[in-house]
Amino acid sequence: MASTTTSAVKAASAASPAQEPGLSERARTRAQKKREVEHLRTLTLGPGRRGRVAAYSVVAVLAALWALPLGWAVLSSFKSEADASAAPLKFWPEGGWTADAYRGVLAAGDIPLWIWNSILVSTIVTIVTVTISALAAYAFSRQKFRGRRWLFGLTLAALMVPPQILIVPLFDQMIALRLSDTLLGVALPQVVMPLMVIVMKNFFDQIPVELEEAARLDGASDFRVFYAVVLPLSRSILTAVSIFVFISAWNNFLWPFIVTNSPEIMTIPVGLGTVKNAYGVQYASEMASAMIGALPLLIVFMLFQRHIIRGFATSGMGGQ
Amino acid sequence: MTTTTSPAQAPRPPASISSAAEPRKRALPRTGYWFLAPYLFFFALFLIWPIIYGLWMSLTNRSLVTEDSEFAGLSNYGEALTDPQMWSSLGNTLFFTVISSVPLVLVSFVMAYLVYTGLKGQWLWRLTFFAPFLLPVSVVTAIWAFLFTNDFGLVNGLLDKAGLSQVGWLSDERIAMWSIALVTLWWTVGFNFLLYLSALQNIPDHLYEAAQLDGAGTWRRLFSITLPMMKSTTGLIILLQALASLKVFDQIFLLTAGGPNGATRSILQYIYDSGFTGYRLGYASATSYIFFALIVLVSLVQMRLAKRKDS
Amino acid sequence: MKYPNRRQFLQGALAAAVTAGAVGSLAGCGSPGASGGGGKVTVWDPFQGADGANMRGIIRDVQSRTGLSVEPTTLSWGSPYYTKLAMSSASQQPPDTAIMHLSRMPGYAPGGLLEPWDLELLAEMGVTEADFAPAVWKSCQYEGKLYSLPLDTHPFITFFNQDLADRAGVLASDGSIEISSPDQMREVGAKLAEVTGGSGISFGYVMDTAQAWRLFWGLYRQTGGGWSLEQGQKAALDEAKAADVIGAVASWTDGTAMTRNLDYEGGLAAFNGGRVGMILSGVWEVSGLQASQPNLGAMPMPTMFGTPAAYADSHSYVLPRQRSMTDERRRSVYEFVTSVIRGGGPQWGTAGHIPAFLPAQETSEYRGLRPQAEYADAGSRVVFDPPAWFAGAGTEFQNQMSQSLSDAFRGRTKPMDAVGGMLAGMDRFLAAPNPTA
Repeated sequence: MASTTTSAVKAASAASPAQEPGLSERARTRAQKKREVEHLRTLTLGPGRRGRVAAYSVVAVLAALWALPLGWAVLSSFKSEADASAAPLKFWPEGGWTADAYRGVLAAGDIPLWIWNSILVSTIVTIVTVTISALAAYAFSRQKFRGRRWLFGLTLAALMVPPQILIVPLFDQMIALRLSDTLLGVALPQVVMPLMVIVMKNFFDQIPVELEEAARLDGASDFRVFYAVVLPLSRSILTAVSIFVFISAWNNFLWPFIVTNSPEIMTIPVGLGTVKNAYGVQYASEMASAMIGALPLLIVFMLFQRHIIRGFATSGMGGQ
Repeated sequence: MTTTTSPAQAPRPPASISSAAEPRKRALPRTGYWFLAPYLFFFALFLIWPIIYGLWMSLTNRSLVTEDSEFAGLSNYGEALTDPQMWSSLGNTLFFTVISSVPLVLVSFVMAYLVYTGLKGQWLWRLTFFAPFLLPVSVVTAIWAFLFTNDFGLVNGLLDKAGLSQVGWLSDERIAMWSIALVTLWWTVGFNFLLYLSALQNIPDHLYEAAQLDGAGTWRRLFSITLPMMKSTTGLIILLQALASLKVFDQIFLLTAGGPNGATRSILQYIYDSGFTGYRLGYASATSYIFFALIVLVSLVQMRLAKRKDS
Repeated sequence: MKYPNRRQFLQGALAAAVTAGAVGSLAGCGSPGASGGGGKVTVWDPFQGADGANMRGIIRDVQSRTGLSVEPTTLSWGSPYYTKLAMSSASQQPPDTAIMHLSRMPGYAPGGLLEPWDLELLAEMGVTEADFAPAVWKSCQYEGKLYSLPLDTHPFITFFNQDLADRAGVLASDGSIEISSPDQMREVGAKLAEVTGGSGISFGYVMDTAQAWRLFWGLYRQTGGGWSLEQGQKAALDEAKAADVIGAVASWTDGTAMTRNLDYEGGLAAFNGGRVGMILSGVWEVSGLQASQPNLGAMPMPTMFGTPAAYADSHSYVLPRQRSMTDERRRSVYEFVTSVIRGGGPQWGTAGHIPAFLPAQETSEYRGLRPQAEYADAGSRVVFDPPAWFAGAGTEFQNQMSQSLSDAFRGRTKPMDAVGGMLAGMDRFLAAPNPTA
């Protein structure tokens, strides 16, 4: 019984796209996707209810545990200071809900400035990293020059260097370059990401060279070939790498923490972590600050979930 | 090198032409250096040079607060290798690596497998498990410091309500590191979850179908198909996780600053403490290289194992 | 490969906005000088809670009185603060002025991270040597120059619950408690314990990084014992006198006269809850203690070993070395600091600290503060940490000394072993290369 249904589903899903002209292409692929998921669910959890109920319970418990800290932080950020630090614990605030903490934090603090700094730094890092890494990856993939193997070997070896061990010499170097406590000083040392060069080289390696040859026969320069032929074919990998680099830069703590001193140069992780509220630890404000600091990337994630997940799966191996 | 085993979700060139990967040696333009120059410039300036400069610093008594420094030979290395505090921070780091990596691998697999089976609400599960990974570390530590507070912190508050005694999550020497590991699990499990999820989605359905025809139940299918198929991914995730855990600094620095009484001080914190708090940049450089050696060792051992598996 | 239009639009809009912003601001972020802000006096401090609120209030007053524009930044107390301060000085982009514990100055001045204060300019702004206690002024000097300008002194003293002390019969007619020997301290503790039914005196030092050292060093200096901390040599203390002091404290901590196993918070909680009648504590706790025990009495650490001495530290203003400094800007900085020191004293005193500027102590505002006025004269006999580069508030040195001491205070080791442990710890610091020399 079970095997007949599954093969029927399989047959249907294979046949359907061509046979249902009335539906739009998107609706058809969606319907097919649904059937495939259902099929896989049966394969992994069995046809009965028991497996499904168990799986749903476990995933729901895990999700609840994972959502709890953020949920509690959100709730607390909408309480008054007295309610947020009420002992014994109260879930429902006596004084009612309020957005005072947000108002106070936004009015008093440097948080909007830190977010802006983070946007700038992450953008600079992403643009520079993707540009230089793509060019280098293309050179390693396609072009022949003296020292290519050696330089690529060096890039591979550099994967093993944890950026954290460089903070001491880099700190000194930034002073010499007059870049300490500047946004460029925060950004530039982050643009060397050998992993991204390798990820992109692997991608370029798989693009058939014929297309480039055709363009070259038409008289296109090397750079034009790269720009007009290779890059358009590489949009998916460029997106993936950009996302990975942007998020890594956004959440980087140690280096921005080392190189910045002035609060007005700090990025959001550093500012929230170092600059203290002179009026003492106020938990509702702390949680409000934390939520504001969390929001930009969470919004970006909700908008581009599929891209981000693929970006991480692609670039992430070795990048943490 | 790890990326060569990249998962199925990796973007591929357009399918119509991806079969012809072979003949790429024909067109060989000579502008390679121009393409490479910008990368090499930054590579040399912010990676090669600091490595060399740091090595030189490690042989001097360079200080944060004075201009001049003297050559000190290998004395920094000698001092670091005989300093019990260096060893205890290294021990803390290894301990953290073990107690954080194990749950980070196990829990992420469970999450990924459940989502992979096609439960309804994919978007929600993925968001919930992955979202913490997108939070800046100071947001994570602010939330957890609040959760771990005495009296009105959520965790201790719930213990209170249950009639149990409160726990000094971050102030008790025996417990603090476990709390840090818990925070780290919550924060970073989403990353491993994604890697597992994309690897799982790579398993062809026909394997399950064949097993089903052979009469294997769902548990049997999990153990004889899914898990074996995840072997190389798991190896990779373990390595990445171990390397990430060895480099722990941010969340410890912000939650306990290495305390109480040094119980959570990681090796990177030791480097920070001796170099910046203790002004001894030369000594901190030497410790950095000892740590670097450890990282290289772990990477090489893993590469060795991976090669053996491949052949 | 095609995505909905909405998403494409969003992606495009986001990318465009970010690029436009980045290009627009790049010009600004390249110039380090811009960070200071035009004409603003930047000041760092580690004050949070009551201190922080007071300081921000004082700064507001100064701004409205003088028209100066001041930008305060608060960082975490302790080593994060001092680390960042040293790093900003080393990278030549420090704040214009910063609060530093007097005990940390010897770790900064020799390295050239600080500028000395210009006495003439200070005098012009109404601040001179005569305005400070000699013991404090002397400790602010390094190689004959003034590097720290003290805002306050904050000694380690004794607070007591006047009601309980009265019931125990230890309260003298002038509102103080007569203690002039270690034995008398124990007797007072025992009498208080009879009233409370538990312990008499609380002292929270277990697992603490400074408390044990604060008590020890103040009492040791009462004995007149000397010390030697010379780089590259063996450390020396008057071992017999040090062991005496440790033995005395260990004799108090029997759980009755004085609590034995309390940490810092526990010590406060015991006093606030009325479970003890007296507490050994820093003056900075006065607001919290008074909130729980309104009938709060206070007195300097009793002289039990001959010479009056009160362990203290001092929040002082220092001038981190700048890459460039105009005369005009320097004047603004001096005007700001001297305004705080001269005018902020009484408000600063409400949180417990004794204003270092003596005329501020004489104001009726400050004289009216209770119990602050009762311990104000501790400011004249203060002793600070030994002036070594590794010593001072929030240092690993204090932590290690406190660990050796607290084992002996709890009776786990003999006093002489603790002295040995401390000397061995000091030797390690003296043997390590001095990074400030």
